[in-house]
Amino acid sequence: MNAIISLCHFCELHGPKVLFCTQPFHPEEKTVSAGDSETEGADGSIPSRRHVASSAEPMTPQTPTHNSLPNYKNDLCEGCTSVHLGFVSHDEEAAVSYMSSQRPQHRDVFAMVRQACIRSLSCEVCPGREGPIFFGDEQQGHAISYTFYIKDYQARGFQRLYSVIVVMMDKIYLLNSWPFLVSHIETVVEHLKSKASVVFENEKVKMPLRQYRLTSTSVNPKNFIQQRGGNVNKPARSLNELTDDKHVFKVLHTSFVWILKACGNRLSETLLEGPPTEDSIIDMEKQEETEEGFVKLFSKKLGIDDDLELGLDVLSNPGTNPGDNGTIDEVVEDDGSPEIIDIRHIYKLLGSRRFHVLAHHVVIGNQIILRGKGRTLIRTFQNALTWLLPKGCYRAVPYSDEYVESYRCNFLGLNPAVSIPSYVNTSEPFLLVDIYEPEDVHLESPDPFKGYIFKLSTFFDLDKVVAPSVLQKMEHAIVNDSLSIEVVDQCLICLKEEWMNKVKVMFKFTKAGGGRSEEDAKNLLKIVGATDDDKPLLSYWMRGLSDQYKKHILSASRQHVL
Amino acid sequence: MAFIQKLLNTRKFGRQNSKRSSYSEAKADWKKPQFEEKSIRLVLFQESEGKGRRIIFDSKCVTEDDKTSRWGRPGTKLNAVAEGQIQKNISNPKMHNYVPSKTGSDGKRLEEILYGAEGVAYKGTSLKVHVVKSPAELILTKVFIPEKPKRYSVTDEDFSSAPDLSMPRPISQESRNGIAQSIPVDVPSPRYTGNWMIKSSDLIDEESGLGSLNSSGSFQAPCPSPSSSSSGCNSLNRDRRLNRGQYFSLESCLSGRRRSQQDLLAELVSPNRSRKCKMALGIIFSTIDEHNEEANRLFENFFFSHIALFESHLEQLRNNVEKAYYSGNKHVYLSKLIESFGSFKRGICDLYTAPRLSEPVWLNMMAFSNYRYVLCDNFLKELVTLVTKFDNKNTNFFMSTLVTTVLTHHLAWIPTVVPAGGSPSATYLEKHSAKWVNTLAKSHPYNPLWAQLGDLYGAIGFPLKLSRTVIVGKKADIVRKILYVLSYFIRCSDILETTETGCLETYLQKLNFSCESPNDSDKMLGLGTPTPVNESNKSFGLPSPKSYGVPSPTPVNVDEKFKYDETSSTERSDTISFQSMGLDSLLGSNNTNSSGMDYNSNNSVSEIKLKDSGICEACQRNRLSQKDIENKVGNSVFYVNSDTCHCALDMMGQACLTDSLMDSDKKEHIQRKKDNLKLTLKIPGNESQSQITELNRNKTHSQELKECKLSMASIVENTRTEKVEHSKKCVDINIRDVNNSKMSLTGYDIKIPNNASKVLTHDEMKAVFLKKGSNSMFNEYFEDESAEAKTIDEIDEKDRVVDLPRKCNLRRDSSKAPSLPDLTAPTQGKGDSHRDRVGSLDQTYKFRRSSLSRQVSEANKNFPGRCRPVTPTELYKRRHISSTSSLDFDFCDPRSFCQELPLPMLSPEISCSSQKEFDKNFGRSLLGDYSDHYMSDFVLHGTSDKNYKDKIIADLRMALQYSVLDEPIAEAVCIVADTDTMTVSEYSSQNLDKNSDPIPCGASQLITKCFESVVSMAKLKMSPEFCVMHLEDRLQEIYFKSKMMAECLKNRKLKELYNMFGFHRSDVPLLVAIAEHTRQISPILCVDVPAS
Repeated sequence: MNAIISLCHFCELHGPKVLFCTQPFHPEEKTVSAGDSETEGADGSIPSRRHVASSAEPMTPQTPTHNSLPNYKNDLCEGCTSVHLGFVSHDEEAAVSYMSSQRPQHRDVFAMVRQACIRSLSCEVCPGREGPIFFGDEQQGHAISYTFYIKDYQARGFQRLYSVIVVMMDKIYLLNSWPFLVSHIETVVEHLKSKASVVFENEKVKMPLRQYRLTSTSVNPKNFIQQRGGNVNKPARSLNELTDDKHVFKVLHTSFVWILKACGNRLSETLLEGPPTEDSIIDMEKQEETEEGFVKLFSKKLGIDDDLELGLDVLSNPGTNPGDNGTIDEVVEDDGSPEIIDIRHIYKLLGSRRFHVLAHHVVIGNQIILRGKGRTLIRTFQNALTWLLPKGCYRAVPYSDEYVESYRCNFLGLNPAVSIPSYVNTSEPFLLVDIYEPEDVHLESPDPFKGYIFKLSTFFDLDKVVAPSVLQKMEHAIVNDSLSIEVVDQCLICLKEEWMNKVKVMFKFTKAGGGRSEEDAKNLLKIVGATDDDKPLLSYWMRGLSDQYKKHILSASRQHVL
Repeated sequence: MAFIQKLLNTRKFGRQNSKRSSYSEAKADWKKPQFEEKSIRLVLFQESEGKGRRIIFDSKCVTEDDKTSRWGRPGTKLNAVAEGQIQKNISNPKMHNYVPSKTGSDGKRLEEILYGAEGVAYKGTSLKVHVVKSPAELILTKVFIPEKPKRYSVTDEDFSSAPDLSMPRPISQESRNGIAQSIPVDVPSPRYTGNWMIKSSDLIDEESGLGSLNSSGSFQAPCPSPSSSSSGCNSLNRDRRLNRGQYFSLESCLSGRRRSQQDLLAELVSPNRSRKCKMALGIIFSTIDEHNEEANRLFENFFFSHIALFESHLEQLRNNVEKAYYSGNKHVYLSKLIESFGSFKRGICDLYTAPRLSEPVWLNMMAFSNYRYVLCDNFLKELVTLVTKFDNKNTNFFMSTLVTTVLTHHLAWIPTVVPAGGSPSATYLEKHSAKWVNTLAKSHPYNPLWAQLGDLYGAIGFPLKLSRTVIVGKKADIVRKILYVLSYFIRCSDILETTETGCLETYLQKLNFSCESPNDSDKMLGLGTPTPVNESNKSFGLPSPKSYGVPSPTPVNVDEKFKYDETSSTERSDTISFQSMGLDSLLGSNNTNSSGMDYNSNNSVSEIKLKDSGICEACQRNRLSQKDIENKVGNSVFYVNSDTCHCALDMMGQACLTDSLMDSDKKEHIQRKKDNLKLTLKIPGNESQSQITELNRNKTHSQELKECKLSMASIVENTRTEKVEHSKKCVDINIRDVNNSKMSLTGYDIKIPNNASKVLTHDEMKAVFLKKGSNSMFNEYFEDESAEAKTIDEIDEKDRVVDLPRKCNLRRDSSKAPSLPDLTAPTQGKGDSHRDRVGSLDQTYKFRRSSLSRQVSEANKNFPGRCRPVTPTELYKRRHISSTSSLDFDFCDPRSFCQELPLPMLSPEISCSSQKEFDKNFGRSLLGDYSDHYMSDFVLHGTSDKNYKDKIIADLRMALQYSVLDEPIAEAVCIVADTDTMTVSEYSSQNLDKNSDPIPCGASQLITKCFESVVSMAKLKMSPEFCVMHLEDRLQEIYFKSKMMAECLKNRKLKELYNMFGFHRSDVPLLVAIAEHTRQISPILCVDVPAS
């Protein structure tokens, strides 16, 4: 809690004095502090404390009411002092140190505390003398002050006035904490008072000073001090003595720390954040897989889609499955071939017609085989194509010397020497992109792709198939040169999220919704704003849903649809 | 659970019923707390210069009599003018009459409470709260200086219609950061300033540190750049909380909150201020029911948690009082006063007793996630019903419009849909509760109530906008349903209160420090007679008897005055400190008459010295006990003049040395040079001959100083663990023999060849430093058996090796911080306690390791033996400075001096529970239900009252003038949805001047479509939970769209949005609001949006 708790004392000789302060520090943020001297900046490590220190001494309050007293030299007595160096407690977990000392380190803080101390002990009136008051202003901070008396057999009136003040700049926080602070300060005060009254009673028995006092003649300025303390050098007794507890300041330190800490922890908040996007969940799931050394374990448990086989397959021979972790960041050594920068780059290389064919194949999940020499080219090509797909739909083998089946990867980089097995030709919908490098590679040209030829071939002509509507929008953004690539990026994210949401509904409907009629299915398409043309995309993108999501939906529906 | 099962299995009709009971009977649920307007009393005092204080109004003395109020004035005398006016008033039947009254018995008491016994030497607005036990009262006071005519004319109509007020400039984070320098820029009007900033300060108090107010210290809270990252939204949410804490930090940022002296002066001499009078406005809440503890407690809790709102009402009252005060007409004054007091009372009553929504959907979903299914079910049903019924052309798409407008202004929903960054997997359960909240709360406790209030008002964007929503309609059930549904879209965090923090009382009882060394506390207490240390420092040089607080075990005589030590305290450069320290420690620590130092001062500085000397004694005792010291003469003289004894450093150096000796390389290096170096030091100003010592390095010596070392073990330990380079800087001073036979008592036996300084050139020193650290360099001295001590005066100045760093003394000091001992510890304690301390200190250092090592290494870089000669006079001066300004530890982390105590443990089983009571949770208190009149503070409420316009406008103005969030508000908005006419419109503070007509709102296509599909899904009987999830997904989509739009706006390609992506114009305000909130686009950019 960003507050400073102090114990103050009204000294008969010296007026209101700050005795003991406890304050939290954030060590790592020291550097942030605004220094006000030349030391700041150059070293940047420690805020100037020169001012603090140099002013520390004369800052001891000299209240006008005591001007008659001898000079400042005597302006300290035991009653006005607590600890010389102080105590510190570290909350390592929260990286906060709580420090107690006679006065705060920071000059401004001291000024505030001192001001509050004076107000607490000699200006503000607490109804009933003992108890809490709040006062404050923007300039000097705000304070809750709890005034109380400690019994002192040698003091005038047999009691001495103390107060515990909590100073904060944040008025609202301080007042919000009033019920807590006041009740706990009360506890501490009672603790002190009870100790002191034990001492008081003992002293009363030991030396019936009271009697002496009552019978003695008038009090005059000369014997005033003697009468009170009996000792000129010791005009006021220390709190230690009054409570007969040499550890009293340690007790105060820990109590104040306790209060500061507990008050800060008293109220807490629950804040909800949106769920991570499917993409980031997929990322995490992939990370888990690779970290734990086995793959797709929970998809096996889940058993809800065709990942099951894949999972088994991978489990049986994890070592021989180069591409399944789907991360194309897997290091493929750079071979100097040119790089594709982004999706728009592909569009420019291929032209709109061929790009559309490629993108169409991509978004409905047909395998894209990139066959060529340049490994970097193929890797970046694949990378750029991911813009079109949710992460979960993306499985790549960056470069391989043999054909890899489509259920294991939808992006495959192939050595040009490899030919597609014939059984694939007929059974698998794939798009083959052959990349021919120019003959004269060494020719330096501003366009590194000069001379490159991309040849698309497939057995599955999508010409007559209407492309999913989202693809149109994607292309729209990609084609439009006036949009920066960042806009395109955001736009694609946006579209993908939008459609993933539709996919979620479809998933829920088909997999977890129980028996549904055809009509319902049609309705649903309408509801999500999709047409039949979008069906291939929707069903393919279901693969992109994270396992967590699927699990959640399934379990939720099982739970409630019973 | 059975209940839920039943719910699930019952038919729709049945569910409907049970659901209905859950919220529609809210009124029945809402138990109106006991409270009466009567229990609020207003007293107004005036304090004039020369005339003292007098009460000028007391609501207790006003009696409403046959629609005629009587106002009373207690016994104090009114001035003649006022008296005359009052006489007139009485003659006027329309005016409030007063009873010349019987009351005022407690006037004096109240006066004291309100003003305080003694005037505070400060001239600004002050807020106070008092609790009176008998009679039980809660007093809220505002003491202020009324500001006059100019302001009055400004605030003549309504409260204020200063043009600049109603069109506040957007308040950017940047300007707020620099609030100290640029207040007038931040805040649109002086009035505004008055509310925000400090009204005044204690100008006459020279100790208040006003001098620093001129400094340009600025608040440097971490401020995220507008387009930092994709998760910017959540980080903003976090920063909002963090910044708040930082802004009020006591650790460093104070000056940012204070105003410059000029400003203060300017304000004080401002002609608008009445310098004559200071008013105190006291609101007294008397006990509601003396026998009902619970009711009182409830009110008290409510009062303190809602203090911001109370104060806002109070501020409004104050404005009116001020205005009335300067109206110049007493009867106007009185009736205005009574009138505004009446509205104050009503406001407070509404705030406390108005019916609340018993089932705020969003909060309940958070708080009772177990019942989520039921909650979703209920919510969805209502939503579907309402959308089906009211979201069509006939109703102007009322629901979509309303929700669009609400989402546009109550922005707290955004963080709840922004995808969480890297939350761990396996959390796909419902929504994700943010983890950072707890982390932040631990390290930087912030005020969750404040954060929640901001959420509710939607005031989380930039610039801050405060929004409220009122549903108007005659049909209560419809209004209630709408309120219920909206409570899903108006979101806020939930407040949890720790129910069990452990009991401080039992903690205190268990607390036991008795195991610690008794010396401790003795030391902490004042030792002996107090003597200010600076006094003695000033008289430095004059012999004075020295008294020790700690009995010194070995009587030692010191007849030396030695002035070198100040080098160590002030300069502490690597080079110089070795020498000075060498001497310090070398010469032992005690003297009886050498310096004027009084070690018994209670001052902490001197305390350190005292401790130091204690250490020295230990050292010395050790030394004396050494057989090597057998040669010591009876009058062995130990030098102890230093401000700080450097045993500590000595010991540390030694430890380092020991370490370094392991390094044969270093040793070689030492050997190579050792013959070349000698050091001569003169002890100036000594009465007798200075002690002659030999600085000698001896491996075995470290053992001799074992005990001494023990006391410093912590440092040694620390040095090692930290592996901080500072060990290299440690001065390695070793005193092998204090009174070595080689030293004659009278001579200066440390002979240094005249070419000494040439031997070790600066470059060489530098090289050594860089290569070896200083140890090795100094090792030479100590290993050189033939080294003799000479006073510095004997050497030509050019030959002196006693060099001080040319600059950066400060840094040297800071770098030395870790080496300072735990001085609170008893120096001669037993091994056990030492070890304890070592442990704790070790921890301390570990804790700060990074920062320290950084400092130290930095310091190292800067101190490659750049030196210059120092004259004794200089040293005098330095010493003087150092002792008075306690430079010794200025630049050290103060915590390193403190004795570490274990952190008090709160109860390990802290359980939090959501606050369901309205007294501690704004989410429960500010979402109002259907009421028969318009109410001010509520974030959401319904009413049948159509006469709200003026009140809304007044509220909007007030919201700007006095922000309940304690932060400048740039715009206040009130959304009004009329269910009778099916229209939604918004009142904005920005439109108040042009015309006060509300702006009609439109529906965003995005929301309309979203509702469409949710309703269709519900009709397909998809699970309500899933439908609600889908709704959330759609909201998230909207967020992504706004991000896209923000990108487009950066490129000024808004048209593309319309054309390509089918954005509808109606979507833009919503999207812009989101983008603004997440600071993806600056407000200025947004201004263009509607135009394009």
